[in-house]
Amino acid sequence: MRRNRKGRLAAVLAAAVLAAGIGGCGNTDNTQGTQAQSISAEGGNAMGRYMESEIALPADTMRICDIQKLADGTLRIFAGGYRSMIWDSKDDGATWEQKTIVGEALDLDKDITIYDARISPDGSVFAFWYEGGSDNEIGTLCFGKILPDGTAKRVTPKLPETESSYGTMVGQIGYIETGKILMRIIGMDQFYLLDDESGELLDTLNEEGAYCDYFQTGGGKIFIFESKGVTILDYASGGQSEADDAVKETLEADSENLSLTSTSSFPVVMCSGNDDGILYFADDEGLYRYSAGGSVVEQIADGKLNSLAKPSVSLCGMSVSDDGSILMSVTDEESPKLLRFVYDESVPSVPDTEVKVYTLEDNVAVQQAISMFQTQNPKYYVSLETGMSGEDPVTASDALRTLNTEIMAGNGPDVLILDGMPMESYMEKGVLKDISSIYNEILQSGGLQENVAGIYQRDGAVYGIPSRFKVPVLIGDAETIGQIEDLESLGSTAEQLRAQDGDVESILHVMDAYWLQNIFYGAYSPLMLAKDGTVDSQMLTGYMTELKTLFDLNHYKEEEVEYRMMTNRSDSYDFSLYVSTQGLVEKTEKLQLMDLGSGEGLATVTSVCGLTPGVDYRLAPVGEKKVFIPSTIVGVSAKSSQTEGAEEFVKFMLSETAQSVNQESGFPVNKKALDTELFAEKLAKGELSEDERIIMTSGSTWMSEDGILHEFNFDTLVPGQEEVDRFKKLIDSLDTPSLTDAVMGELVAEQAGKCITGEITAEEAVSVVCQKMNLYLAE
Amino acid sequence: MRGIAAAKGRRTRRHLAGRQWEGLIFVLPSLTGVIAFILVPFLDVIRRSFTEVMSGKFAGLKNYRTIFSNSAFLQAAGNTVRFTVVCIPLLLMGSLAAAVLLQRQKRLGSFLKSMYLMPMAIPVASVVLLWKLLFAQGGMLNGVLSFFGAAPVDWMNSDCAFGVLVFSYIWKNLGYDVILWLAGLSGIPESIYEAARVDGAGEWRCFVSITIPNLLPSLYTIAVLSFLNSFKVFREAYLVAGDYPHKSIYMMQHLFNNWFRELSVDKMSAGAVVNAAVILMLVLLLQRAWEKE
Repeated sequence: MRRNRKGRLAAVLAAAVLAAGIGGCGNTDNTQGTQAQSISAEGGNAMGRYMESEIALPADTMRICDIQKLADGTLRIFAGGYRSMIWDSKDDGATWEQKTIVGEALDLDKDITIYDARISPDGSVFAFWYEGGSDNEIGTLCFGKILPDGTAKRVTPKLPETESSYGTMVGQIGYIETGKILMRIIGMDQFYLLDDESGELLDTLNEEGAYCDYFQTGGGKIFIFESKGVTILDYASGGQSEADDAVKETLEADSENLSLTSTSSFPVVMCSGNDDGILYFADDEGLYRYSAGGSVVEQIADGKLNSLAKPSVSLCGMSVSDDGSILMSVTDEESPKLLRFVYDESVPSVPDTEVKVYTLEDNVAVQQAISMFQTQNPKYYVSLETGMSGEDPVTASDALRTLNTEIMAGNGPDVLILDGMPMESYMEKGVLKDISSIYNEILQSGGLQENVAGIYQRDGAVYGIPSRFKVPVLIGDAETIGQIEDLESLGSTAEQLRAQDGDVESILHVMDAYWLQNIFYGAYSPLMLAKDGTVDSQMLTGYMTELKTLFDLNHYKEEEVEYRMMTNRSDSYDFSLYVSTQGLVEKTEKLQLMDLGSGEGLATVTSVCGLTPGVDYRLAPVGEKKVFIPSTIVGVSAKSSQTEGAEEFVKFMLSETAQSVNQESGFPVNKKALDTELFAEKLAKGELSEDERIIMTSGSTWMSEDGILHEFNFDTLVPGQEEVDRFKKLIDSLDTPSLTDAVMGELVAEQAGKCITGEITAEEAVSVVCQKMNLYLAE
Repeated sequence: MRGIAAAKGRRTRRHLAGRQWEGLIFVLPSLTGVIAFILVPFLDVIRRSFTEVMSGKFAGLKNYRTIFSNSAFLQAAGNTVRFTVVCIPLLLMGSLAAAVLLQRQKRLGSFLKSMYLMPMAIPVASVVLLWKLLFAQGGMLNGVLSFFGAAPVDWMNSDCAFGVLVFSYIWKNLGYDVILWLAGLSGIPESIYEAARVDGAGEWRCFVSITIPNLLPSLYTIAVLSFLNSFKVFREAYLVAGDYPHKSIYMMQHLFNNWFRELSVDKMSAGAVVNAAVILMLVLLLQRAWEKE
């Protein structure tokens, strides 16, 4: 009886525990559900957003040094360049009035360029320049002030002597208040606060000697940026500010904010607000407002919803108007732009419709398109998810599994950037929506490079469109490369060239083992699969053998060997697009296989050919095949909940507007954008002057072992119409896409790297690749 | 008398039925978990094995036909069976021998037991690192071999990979099985051995006629646990050689992992159903054999 009672008691207790557990769970769920609903109800209707618009600049503006909204409402800009000018606008940029031609006002020689200038809150301008410089000396540093009424005068600041052999060089200037200009001299840690009219040294700041990459001023503070962090100085007290941790943390959260990457723009720009102690600042993630000593930094505009997050945009300066609108000067694709952000209460703070975009790897072209699309379509919020951020050890396979889980759960992205994804598998399983309507619409309206854009057509349906492409080309002596038909003959030709010239450094340009395999995979991967879908082991053996041969034919300097043997790298720069101008021009390299992906790349190649008699380029010799590398392949998920938005975005990505911006992601498939990329505008002008033909000038100086100083200068010139037409014909002839599947690429790359560096033989490499790839293909 | 006996019998049955319900309440929490997280999802897997991935349309036996004509599936299934057939007997016999020897060790017994259990305490990541150091082409093992003038072997990219995997599985699980066998051994009364020895039985006779028959009830549990543990060897193989190891160690889990990456949920579901059916059948066969004993 006792045992039985105990048993019953235990059973009742167990049941109670179970019931409590189940009940507890249910209760928590209900509470969460209620909370979620209330949050959703509150957050769903939030209104008000800073909306962006562009202010037209005066014609021929090359660069904006500074902007300032004056007390009387005038918008003043200092336009730098060969002819610096001050412009005013009384109607917020609708019309511009030329106020002062700075060089004339200061009575400067015509060939003197104003280096930089800042506008004071009262409208006066402080500028500096150098006079009488030579190749080894920058010249005498000169300063001048243009008063609000337009009169100008030279200023002679009392600065300490510098030990630099180049002379005194100004790193940066900035107003901290009317009449007081802050100056940083290169090579010195301290900042000098000067009277902008008399040049009198008022104060020396940063006595602690915090290293400075660049500085910004605003809200009564000086912000000193360097790679280790941000130092904030209070210029009223002259010491470091201790009460601004919130803004310090926000600025330091993004490491890209801390170092300069350009001489004409800043990662962060700042200005004072209309009230004392109010600071406004901006970076690529948005616009912020901060009250001195406060504990919170308020993000007033999300960079993703405007141009600030555009990879092509760099920040130059900002100013706040009395009405609270914010003006920002930026450069976009190296052209100056003036943007205005005005708060609009009638617009939802976050767009109602979210379009989710997924890409396996970071893709600048997509980021650029998203930013442009959102600026033009405020009702959409386009979020970008990158599977492999590069900051963690996530592999392509890991990222794809996570993506598939999301797709199967119905939470997947709306737009897929299919580079590296199992395209055939996705098409077969119906993961991708048919976007033939978009394809046909663009094809009929303006035209697409059909032989490239249409590669994912199946039975009339289009499941993906490569928005960009690269063209593998071989550069070298015209007669020599003309005889090369395939990889085998490329290898044997290289051996002949080595036999003819035992002294030349490189037969084929090789950055390192990683890039050698990477570039060759792009051109030769279509040959790796036999007609029955299995691996062509014979071809693969040839591939491994020739790569090893080509790598070994070069003479590497002893100190370079370790670098050249690298088989794995995570460069942000795509070295497949690099043209070895010096090697080819000076003939220290006989051949180069590379990918052409931009008009500038083509111009560099044609310039090399023009400069070096006998040198020419051709499509990569891959037998009968004319290979190209599709990239930024766009597709719409069949399970997308925002089909309309997704299709709008894809259409935009293929539009002339989005495609005309090329950040080395490849040639655009939109024909009009391709024409623009291939210098249609410049060529339409007819005969170009020598200066007009120059796209870019580059050069290098080095000292050889015998102590002789060498110099190499290279001008990249706009190619002629004939050269462009020839290249267009080559594009039209392209018929074979390279393999884009990341898994296959990784399997080959791993073994090819080992083979090139001699860790394993070509046969061993092929055996491993065949075994693994056949398993992959059989799956 | 018969009436009293019948009443007693009814009471006993009622009592037993009552105790069974009490037992059910005790297992209910874990049973709920098993139903919610294993059985219900598995029912969904069975459903998916008869449908297309994205459209969800009924596909009949198409997915089953696909996997049985898929060479990767056949390779993986073959390897998994081969691995199980080689490893389980080796592990059971090896661990039993070790357990019997350990039981007789009075002085070093507990120290050796701890040593056998050491591999279980080493995290998989460390095991993998050890593998890489040992079995890489320029690794320690090849270093030792080259010292004796032997040519280096690519252990993980040749048929040797299977041997390495078997060795690793046995090394890692031997201690666990030894403990299970020792538990079984401790349940055999010493008096039986003493009586047998008095009757003139030698050590081997005692082992064959007393130890083995008395350990048979433990055999079922140890065999099933070892069998299920054998599936965990995928972790090591995956961490060392990734998605595509040498074909001799390409297991079912590799295939499922890769099928999921390709979004081949249809094939994966069919493969999982077949796999589960085979495992269930084996477990039932073992259970039946044990019940007969």
